[in-house]
Amino acid sequence: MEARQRFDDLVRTYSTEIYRYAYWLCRDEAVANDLVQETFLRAWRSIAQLREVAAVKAWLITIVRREHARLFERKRFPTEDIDEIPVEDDVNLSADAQIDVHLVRAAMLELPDKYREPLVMQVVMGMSCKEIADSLEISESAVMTQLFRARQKLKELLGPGEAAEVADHARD
Amino acid sequence: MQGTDRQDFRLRLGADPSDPALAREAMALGDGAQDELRRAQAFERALGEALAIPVPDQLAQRLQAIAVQKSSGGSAWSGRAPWLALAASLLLVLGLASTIWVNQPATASPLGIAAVEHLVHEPFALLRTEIVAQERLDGLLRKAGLELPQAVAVNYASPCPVYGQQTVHMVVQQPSGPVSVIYFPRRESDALGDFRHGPTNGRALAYGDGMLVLMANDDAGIGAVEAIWQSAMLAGEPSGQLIAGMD
Repeated sequence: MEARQRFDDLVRTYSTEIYRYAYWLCRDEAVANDLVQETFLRAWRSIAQLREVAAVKAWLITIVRREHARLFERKRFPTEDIDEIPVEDDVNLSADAQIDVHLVRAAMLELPDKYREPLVMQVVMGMSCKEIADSLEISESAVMTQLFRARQKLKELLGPGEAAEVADHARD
Repeated sequence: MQGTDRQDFRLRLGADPSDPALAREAMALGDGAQDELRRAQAFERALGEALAIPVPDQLAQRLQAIAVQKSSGGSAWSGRAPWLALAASLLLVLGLASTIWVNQPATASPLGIAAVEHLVHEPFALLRTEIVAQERLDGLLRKAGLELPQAVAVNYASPCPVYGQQTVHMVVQQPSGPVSVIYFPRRESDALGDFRHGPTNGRALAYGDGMLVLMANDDAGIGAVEAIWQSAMLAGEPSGQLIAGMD
């Protein structure tokens, strides 16, 4: 019973973030679903050993990354078409903001993996540079460089006008 | 000194705009830096909104059901051996791709070849393990003029243009691997029967007012899925006149 409760708490706390992380990692909704399911299945199997609450997020991230790598190590699939990126359910955004969201998502899909992944870890998972560095097994300064370049590249992809407009919408 | 500080500020702003220490530094550096900070933080909010993609309905409940299933010893296809299924799917995708790249001679009809080659365009379809909502599947089939008296379960369903017409492309996961099913509405049944294209086996059936093309790398999977679809149609047609494979 205690294990069930802990697992339910784990799912409630992390399933949304982990799904979003998985999605931006693989850029496909169905594969993200499978990755998340496999991740939580493993979490359930190991629930008795999961004592350190602080380490849970990093542990879940590691499983997602490992499963994703196993799936993709031999074969690169085409990525999802820009028009297929889910935008319709953003009920909290105005119509104008939805356009901006669409642009940013499209740019994110074009961002190279080495930039996209740490950026998603930081923005979606709320991880610090140190946590990202530990997960990716690179130095903290390398993470900061990648994050800096990720944002630069994203703004380049959006174009100077679009990037400023996106920021203006967010500031309003 | 000011220049170095400004450069360091910009680097840190680009790496982590949410760092609370940046506000203090921006104040020390002056108006220009405060503007940069405001712009960077505004962009960050937009980025956060963009990355917060919609999460599938009932995601948490489905994941919590894993514990219930596993505790009771139950199993679902996707939970039992998802990576076996994925591996089989990948093999099929690679096989299909190599078929086209190597340009092997086809023994299938032009429609059969088009159906097999369409699968390469949607490799992710073969990886799907969730059951498609019945309303969605019924809606797609109804649009294609097909009403099944009995529900069938599929793991992927999408309207797709194949061989010059709109079709319903579906995938059914089987223990032997995924079976792709394409329904061609209002199609004359002029190329029925079993066929093979590269490593892919296929079977074309007359079904409803059109054709059903089943494809897999294993005949057992095709046979199993054919039986399900025959049964679904026969549930409303006691005479069973609508199903006709040509062996």
